[in-house]
This record gives sequence, structure tokens and C-alpha cells, in this order.
Amino acid sequence: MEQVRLEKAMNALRAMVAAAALLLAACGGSGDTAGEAPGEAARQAAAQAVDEGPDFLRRAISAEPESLDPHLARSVPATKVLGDLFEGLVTLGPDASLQAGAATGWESGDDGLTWTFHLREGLTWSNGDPLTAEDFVWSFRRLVDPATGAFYASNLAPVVGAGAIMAGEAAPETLGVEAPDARTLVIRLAHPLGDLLHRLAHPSAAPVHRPSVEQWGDDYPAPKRLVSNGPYRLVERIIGSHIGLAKNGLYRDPLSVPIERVRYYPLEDATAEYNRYRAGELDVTARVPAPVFADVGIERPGELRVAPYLGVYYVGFNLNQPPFADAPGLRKALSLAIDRERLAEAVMGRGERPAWSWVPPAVQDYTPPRFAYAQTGAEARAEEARGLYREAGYGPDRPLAFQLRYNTSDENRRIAAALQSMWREVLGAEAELVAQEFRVMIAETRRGDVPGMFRGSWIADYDDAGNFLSVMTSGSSANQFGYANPAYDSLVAAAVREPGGEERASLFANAEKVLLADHPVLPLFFYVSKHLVHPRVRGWVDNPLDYHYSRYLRLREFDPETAPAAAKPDPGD
Amino acid sequence: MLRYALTRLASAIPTLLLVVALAFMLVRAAPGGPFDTERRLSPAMEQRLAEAYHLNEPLPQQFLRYLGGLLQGDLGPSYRYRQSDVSELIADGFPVSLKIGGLAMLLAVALGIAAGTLAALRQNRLVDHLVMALSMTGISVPNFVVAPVLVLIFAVVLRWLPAGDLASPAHYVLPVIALALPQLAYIARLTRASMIDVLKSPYIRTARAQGLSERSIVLQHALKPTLLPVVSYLGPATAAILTGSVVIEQIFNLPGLGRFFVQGALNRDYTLVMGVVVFYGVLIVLFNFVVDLLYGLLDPRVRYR
Repeated sequence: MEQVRLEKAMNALRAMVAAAALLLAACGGSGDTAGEAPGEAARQAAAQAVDEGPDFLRRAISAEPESLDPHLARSVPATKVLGDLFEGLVTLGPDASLQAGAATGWESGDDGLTWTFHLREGLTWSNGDPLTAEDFVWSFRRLVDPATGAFYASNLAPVVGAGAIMAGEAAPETLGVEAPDARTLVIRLAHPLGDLLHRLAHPSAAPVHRPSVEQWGDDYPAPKRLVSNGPYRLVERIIGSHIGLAKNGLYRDPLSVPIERVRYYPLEDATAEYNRYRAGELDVTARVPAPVFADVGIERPGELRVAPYLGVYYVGFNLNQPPFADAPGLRKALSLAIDRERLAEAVMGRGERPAWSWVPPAVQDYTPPRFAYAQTGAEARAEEARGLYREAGYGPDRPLAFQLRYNTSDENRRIAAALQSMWREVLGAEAELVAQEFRVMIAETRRGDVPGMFRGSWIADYDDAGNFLSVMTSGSSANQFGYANPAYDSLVAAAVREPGGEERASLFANAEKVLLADHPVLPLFFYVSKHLVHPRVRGWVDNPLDYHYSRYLRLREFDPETAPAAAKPDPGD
Repeated sequence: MLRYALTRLASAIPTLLLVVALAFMLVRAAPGGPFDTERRLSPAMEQRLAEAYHLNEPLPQQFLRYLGGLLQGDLGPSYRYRQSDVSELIADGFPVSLKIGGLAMLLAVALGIAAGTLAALRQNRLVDHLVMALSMTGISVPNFVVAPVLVLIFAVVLRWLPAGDLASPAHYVLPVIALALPQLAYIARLTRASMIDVLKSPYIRTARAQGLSERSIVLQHALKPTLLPVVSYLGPATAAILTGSVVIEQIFNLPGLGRFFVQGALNRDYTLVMGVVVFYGVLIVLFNFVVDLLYGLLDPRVRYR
């Protein structure tokens, strides 16, 4: 008896080992992590999946949001989720254009200093509490209160009293925002402002539910507890896994929101995200990994969405230390020596545009001026570069040597290596490449005592040239270069105060020309947003802010107007 | 035996204290802080935040404050996810890591011992060479290569299994296999070598001379001594599974502890990193202790004073 049982056990062992062997052979054979499924199989799978998806929208974001409190959130992934949960006075449309949100209309006084907003009738929070102008007053005070530690408090800096409050010298109650009655909000500005509406459409200007904060404190954004006023409310959140939203029945216009439920998946690994999309587990990806970009365009042409994105990738100088302090000619030489076209096409190759200005041309109502040498050919630029290099006192027997620091990533490394070789080829300058972890680089750059160059990027908070140009003003908290040009500061200040139109654009252009001539920073290319969007998702409109609120999207098979007759909803996972 | 257990557990406390102190110093030695970003906060805000999180106090004072909290079981709030306490995050993340890690360990031990035994009994034949070659591959190919390849084959192309999350038993298959493979391979080799050695011992020869069946010899006389090196390896194996889980959790989007650990370090989330270090430290000390006891059970020659 025992003999037979043991024999069976040995056979089972052999079978298990054989199965494991097959598995290991399959894994051990291929070392290519991204891999390529045959295009045909993928197309068939995708076609099949259109009629099989679950009845909720599955979106990926690139990292776990640090907070769902509109005042504490600061990362791009967090703002994506907040856009579905909250709605400010002003909101953004499917193409990211400004639209009426909680306010139906507004007007500004003759001097442009007093803005009056009229709230809709019958606004409520997701728990039924009435939403009044007083809520906005309290929320804006909380935003600028230093005790909150809000990253985007500076969005309200132009409001009367904000400066003193943020410096800790005045109480938040002194902020120039009042509610004369439940449906009227008055904002008083310290100076006229052309982009106030943009700032109010930003997620940080969303109203926050006071009773929740007072009762729960830091804990109030918990699922089933977070009270919001947007098209969706928070029903589930497992940190590291997903965030579940459901339609807010008390939203001001619930019938206009087609999708009932949305799930956000924070996925840090771009390849894993791509694989999940291909396996049919995601409807929208946050990005597309570089190695597979070319293939994706061929395999899934209708699903790849590439659009200009309001962000600039640059390398900056420490302007307070040699060799780049007081050396505009040298800085210009380094800029001339870079072949931006080659960088954008060959090194990046995913639709990025070479940057001949600081502000991306995709910004609305503004055409940026360009570097004077944007049109001249590479050879002429190289010649001029060498001339300036010599003038600065450098040459073959005295080459310029400096460090170029960048935060560790494949992309940054490739670009840094390309820059290093361009500078060496054209000028004979020696750039030492130093890869650092992100926060280490930030800390060192901020200290200001590390000479040389560093890589950075600026992503717009809202669609306005001022958001880019303000970075370089001497008082800006984002100015890590040490650039301080009073002429530039006053030009930007004047432009920001213009209400709008051509006057504003031309003032900005003047400021940018000064900036470009000084070369405190070398913009390299402008970003593009890249997403994979499943064919069953409708209503996706590419826009330069890359805001795609779920309320404007529809799922094809659950939309009574477009659903195919034979489709039946899949019960889901 | 009881005295041994108590002495061991008592000596674990200075070990843990050292671990906490080292982790505390290392995580604060890294440049950059939890609230550093490309755009600075106003000085008033930075001041308030520093005060709220006691970051402006001298380091020894911060350490004592942390220890005090630790003794009361309070691991502090996460610096990054301010609405969550570290103990909450660990309580949420640990069961996930435990399930995946535990299953992976079971798989690695069961299949590894089986494969190694088979190879040892059929030494130098085809089965043996196959197991050895495959285990070499399993040890050499890192799990951040194996995991995406598994996903590619089984989730993307074949669509037999899901590529992420933990919504159903099927979701566990790929992460557990990917995590178990390197340990499975190593345990197989270990078992094989150990069994070959044991089978040459005098007492085995005696048993054969007495006419016992091969099956009985293997299972009743050879297996226990063979497992001794494997049991010793279980301590390091747990550590390897804990660290391996970081990659696996990232790739399969599992809300486990390993991910918190790495994200915490990158975000300079001091309290979260410290919390996970303390937790892992306690786990590993406990587990090594259990392994030592197990050793005593397996080998009657081992006596505890």
C-alpha cells in the first residue's frame, strides 16, 4: 500500500518539476522586459475587449496622491483625482477652456481690483449641507494660512492681505475675500490681475467642507468621510492599490455626468501599466513607456493620444557662482552649441518640440518670441558659439569644466549624455555628468552653493504665459537659479496686471525677450502628453493642460446613444 | 528550553534598539527632507511645518521623542500621507505582503524540497541535470525580469491570468510565482546537495544493509537531516522574500509593505520608513528565533542550554 502511494507521490513530483521546468524555460528564455506581442493578436484582443469592459472607467495615474485635501495636494496625479471630486467657482471644459463652475457669472469693477462672483442657486455638498459663499471665504483663508502648509497658497498671493498672512504676520481673517450674502462672493485684489479666473479654476481653489475639517482634522479626506462638491464623491481608497469614485447625486448637474463610477490606479512602473492596458485591465494610461512608443503607434493607432503639453524641459545655471555668474556670453555659447532639433527628434523621438523660447507656443493667447538664432543653421550657430566661448576666455588649452546634475532616470541620462557630447564637439567644453536622486538634487540646488548646471522642468499650473514667466522673477519661490533682473521683474509685473488681450501678450513678449537674451536658463524642448485611450472611452479631447475630467467622458457600450445593439455589460471584476 | 527562549528574546531588544537607532540616523542623513519640492514654501510655512513635525529640534531629542512614542505603540503620522497613521498603513499593508510572501515561501519550500529530492535520487541522470539547469536560471534571472515576462505571457498574450491587483484568487498566482522562483531554485539546489551528502552517511548504509525500502530510507531517515541546511536558510529566505516583494508589489500594483518602504525612503517619509524598519526588524528577529527552535526539533543532537 505504502509502495503504491509513494510511487504516485514520486510521479506527482516529477510532474510538478516538469511543469516548473516549462515555466522557467519560458521565463529564462527571454530577457526583454517590455516585449512585443504580435500586432494582430493585440488588435483582435482589443477589438474583443471593446464589448467586454466593466461598467466603470479605469484610469491610471503615475503615483499615489499624497492627499485628497485640495489644499495639501501638490502633485500632478493628485490634481487629476481632485478635478473629479471638487469644483471651484470656475472650472475647465473638456478642452480645458474656462467655464462657469460653482459660479454662474462674475464681473470685475472698473479698476479691476474688485471681482464679484455669483453662485448658483441650490448648491450643496455631497452630504446635503448647503454650499454658500461663506464656504469659499473660509476655504480661501485656510489656503493662505501658513498653518495649513498649502503648496499652492501663492495662487492667491495677489489678493489683498494674502502676503502678510502667508508671512505669518496677519491673521487669515484679514484676507480680502468676503461674502455679502450666501450667493455672492467678493474678492479684492492688491493689483489688477489678468489670470484670476485661471487661478480659481485650479484644484487648490476648490471649496473645503469646514465642519469636516473641524471635526476630523487631518483625517477628513478618508473615504466615506470626505465631503466634496464635484461630480464625483470618494467611496474607496486603498493606498497603493486604487481610489474608487462614484457619481455624486447631489452635484449641481448630475444628469450631465455619463459615467457612474471611476477607479484610479496609481502605477509607478510605466511598463507594468502598459502591460495592464494591453491585458485589458485599464481604459486610460497616464503615459507610454519610451521603448515601446514606436510600436504602439503602429499597433494601436487610434488609441495613442499625443498632444502638446504645457511643460518645458530645461537645464539651468547656478547664477551666483563661477563660472556662470556674470557670464551671459558664455551661457549663450552653451545654448548655441546645443542642436535642439536633434535632441527632440533623435534623442527623444516622441513628438517633443525643440524649445526656442521659455514659454511653449501652445499657451493660449500668446505667441512667444524666440531666440535670435532659432532660424540660423547648426553650422552658423556653432561658429557663433565658438566665438563667444573664446571671448569668455576659454579655449583648447583652457577648456570650460563644470558639473551637470540631473535626477536619475533613463530619459535624463540620455539627454545629459547628448548635451555632454554636443558641448564637447562644438566647444571642447567638458561637462561632468552627475546623477542624483530627486530630493538630493533639489536640496543641493536650493542651497545655492553648488556651481554648475542642473536639469529641471516646469509644468504649467494653468494655461497662461504668466505662469511660466513668473518663475524667473526674483521673488518667485520657484526661482532656483538665482536670476534677479529688475528690468525683467518690472516687465512681468506690468504684464500680469493687464486684464488681457494684445496689450498683455505684447508686455509678456517684451519680458520674455529680456529673459532669452540673458540666458539664465536653457530651455531644451517642450513636453507632449502621451496616453493610451481605449476605444470604448468617448469624449476625450486633447488639450495642453492634459486635464481630462471624468465627467466629460462616456463609455461606448453603456452610452444609450452609441452602444452597439448586441453589447451586454460585463459584471466586472 | 524555556530559559533559552527567554534569553534569546531578551537579547533581541538591544538588537532592535540598534536597528532603530541606525535607521533613524541613516534616513535623516540623506539630503533633502519630506517637504522639499521644486517650488519653495514661504518661510513662515516651512517654519510651521518644521514645528508641527518637530524637525527643528536637535536630533537626539527627536530620537528620544520617537522612542517614547514607540514604547507606547505610537509610530506617528506619515509625513507624506498626512491623513494616515503609520500603524494604520502598516496594518493595511502587512496582510497583503504576508499573504503573498507566505504563499511564496510555502511554494518555494514545498516545490524546492520536492525538486531537490528528486534530483538527488536520480543523480546525474536527465532529471537531475534539468533541475539543476533550471534552478541556476531561477537564481540568476532577477525577479524584475521574470515578473514582467510572466505578465506578458499569461496576462497580455494568453489572457489566462490578470496582470495586477488582488481582487480574486487568480490574481495571486503570478505575483506568488514570481516571488517564489529564486527561493525555489535555491532551496532545490540546497536540498539536492544536502541529500546527496546524507545518503552517503554510515547510518544510511546501515539502513540499506538492513533491507529497508528506498522510499522508507528517504522519507524516514534521510529527510530530516537533509532539511537542516534548508531550515537554516529559511531566515535569509524570509529576508529575500521581504525585499523581493518590493519589486513584485510595484509591478503588480499590490498595496503591500515593501512598496511603502521604498516610496517612504524616496519621499523622505521618516516616520513611515522607521515604522517599516521596526516592524521588519521585529519580524525577522522573531522568525530567526522560531527557526532556531525548529532546528532543535529536527536534530535531536542539538541541545539548548
